[in-house]
Amino acid sequence: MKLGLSQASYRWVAYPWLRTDSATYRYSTGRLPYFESVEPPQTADDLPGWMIERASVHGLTALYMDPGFFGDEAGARRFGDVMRSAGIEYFGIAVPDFPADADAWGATDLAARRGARDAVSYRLAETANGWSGGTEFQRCVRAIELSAAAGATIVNVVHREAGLRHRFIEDPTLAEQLDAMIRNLTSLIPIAEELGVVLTTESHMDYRVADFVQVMDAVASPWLRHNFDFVNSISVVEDPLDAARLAAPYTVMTHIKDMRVQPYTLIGEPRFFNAPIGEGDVPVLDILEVLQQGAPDPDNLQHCVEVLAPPEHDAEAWIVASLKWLREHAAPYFA
Amino acid sequence: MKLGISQACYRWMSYPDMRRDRPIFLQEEWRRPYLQTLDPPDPDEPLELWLLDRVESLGLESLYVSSRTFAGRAAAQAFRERAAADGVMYVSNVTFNVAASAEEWEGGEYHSTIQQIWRSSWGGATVSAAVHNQAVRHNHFTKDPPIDVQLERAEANFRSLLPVCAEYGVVLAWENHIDYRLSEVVQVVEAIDSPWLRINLDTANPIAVIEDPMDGARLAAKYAVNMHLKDMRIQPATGTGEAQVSWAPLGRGHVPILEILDLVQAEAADPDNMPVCIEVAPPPDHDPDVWVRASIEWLRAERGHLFESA
Repeated sequence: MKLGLSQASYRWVAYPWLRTDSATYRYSTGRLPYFESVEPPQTADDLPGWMIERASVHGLTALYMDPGFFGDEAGARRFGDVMRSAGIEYFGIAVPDFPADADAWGATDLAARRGARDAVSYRLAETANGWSGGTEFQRCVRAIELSAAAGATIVNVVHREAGLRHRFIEDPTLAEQLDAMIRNLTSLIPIAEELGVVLTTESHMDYRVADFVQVMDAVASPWLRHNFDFVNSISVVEDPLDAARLAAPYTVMTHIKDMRVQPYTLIGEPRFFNAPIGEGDVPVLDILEVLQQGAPDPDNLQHCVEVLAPPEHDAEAWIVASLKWLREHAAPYFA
Repeated sequence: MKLGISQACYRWMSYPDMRRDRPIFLQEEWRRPYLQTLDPPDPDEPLELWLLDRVESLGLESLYVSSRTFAGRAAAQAFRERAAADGVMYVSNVTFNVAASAEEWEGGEYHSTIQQIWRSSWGGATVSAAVHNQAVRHNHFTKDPPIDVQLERAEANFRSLLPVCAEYGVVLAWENHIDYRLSEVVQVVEAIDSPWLRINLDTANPIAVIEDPMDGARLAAKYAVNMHLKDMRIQPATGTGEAQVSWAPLGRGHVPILEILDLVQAEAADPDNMPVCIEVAPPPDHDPDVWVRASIEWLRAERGHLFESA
């Protein structure tokens, strides 16, 4: 097993649309950070290089990062070369509205695929950030193409609209949402195969791992596997260890993190708090063992650290503490 | 089923240590209530009688209120007579450290608990919810002691109470009270295998311990002798990555309440006479009576036949 970095660990420090020195954040009611032990990137264009540097500084061997940050193929190849030189494996991201209906997903023929480059663009800015133009299918194609250009072997396909559509809503029903996912993911498999990129699903505070297992079994392709997140199943009332057991045979990368569960509160509503790894209630070591025993290639399984410090806390301190804990308590897995 | 309310519905306006008109409330971070339709009980008014008035005005048949609210035996008996006259079934609760060590149990916890069983009996209860009062110290997630030891202690502690329950005719209904999973509660109930230990099934509390409410209900339904009907909204994705789970009037959240009711009706030993208490406790700035009435209206519209008196 190996340790990598997820960009999300630095979301409040580095994302132009979230960073705590942005005008947007300063207008919110969020507290400002008190201590920061790392300087944020100077400009949005510096973001991919800055993330690569953070991974290198921490001695990590993988980086999970949005390929939109690269801008275009040339940028993707350039940063891909930097990562290879640093011994960092790159994992990309595509962010469709996963259960989009057929109209929103759009045509999936060759013309649609070829048109993706001209139809879709990515904006890395404080406002109106992210992918725009084209159909959901074309945006995914573009994300996969740019990821491949940077040398990605895995592209994690993450549901963008989890605030609106998730397993608890009734319209559309869960079964209808899963059917749409199966249809949409199936349309991406030929592109993944052609570019030599494995796509992964992730339980991303939207659906249970048990739901995604249904999807993966229905798509039934070696080009579709799973990115196991150690925490996110809590959000959908699924036991993380049970989820790991289901996910293990499909798992080719992970987001490793921790969370505190406070079931009892005065108001009667449970609270869930992010935590540095080792300071939460997720059975991290038990899950590592499940994956060691059940994942297809545990020796090369990259666990991307994704610890989400609240914006007023020092993200770097949380990452340092999490890596220290993992290297001390889970050393046999990362030897 | 005997539809009723739980005292907790009105906690922010009626509990002496929580009510919103306490001066200390104005120093806390909560918003003050808006647009209230109900006056709180007078400071000298017994809470249990104020709640009986609520039950009567809502046209319900059961009330869940702690036996600790009774000022004494005479007050409990007065309540018993009034509830009987109103045709209201009383469900009490006893609270104790379910996971108390042997030393803690012998050192006072046992005695405190049997006193509550006596008081429940004085008030006319035949079912009393058993509520763990140390959920902050001991719960599914805490590790000192680990969960298997907590459940061993719970089994021993419950066993010691059962002779008193039999003597006073009070069934303890262990509630999954944002502390343990129903799968764990069922494990202890089955190990003890006594008619004096059953389950008070709370429909939403499994969420707090990451247990699917329907999965929990499937395990517990056949042991249920009381229910707390509660709904919660689940907002799995948020900007901080921390899920938000919040109260909702019945029917406006994500708990499959109707499916759970149907299951309990089908599997419980005596569903027709089972008290089923609405327990919606909105945040303190909301109007609890609006939430309770909306919940009753929804329940009667969706499953009215379950609550028709014989």
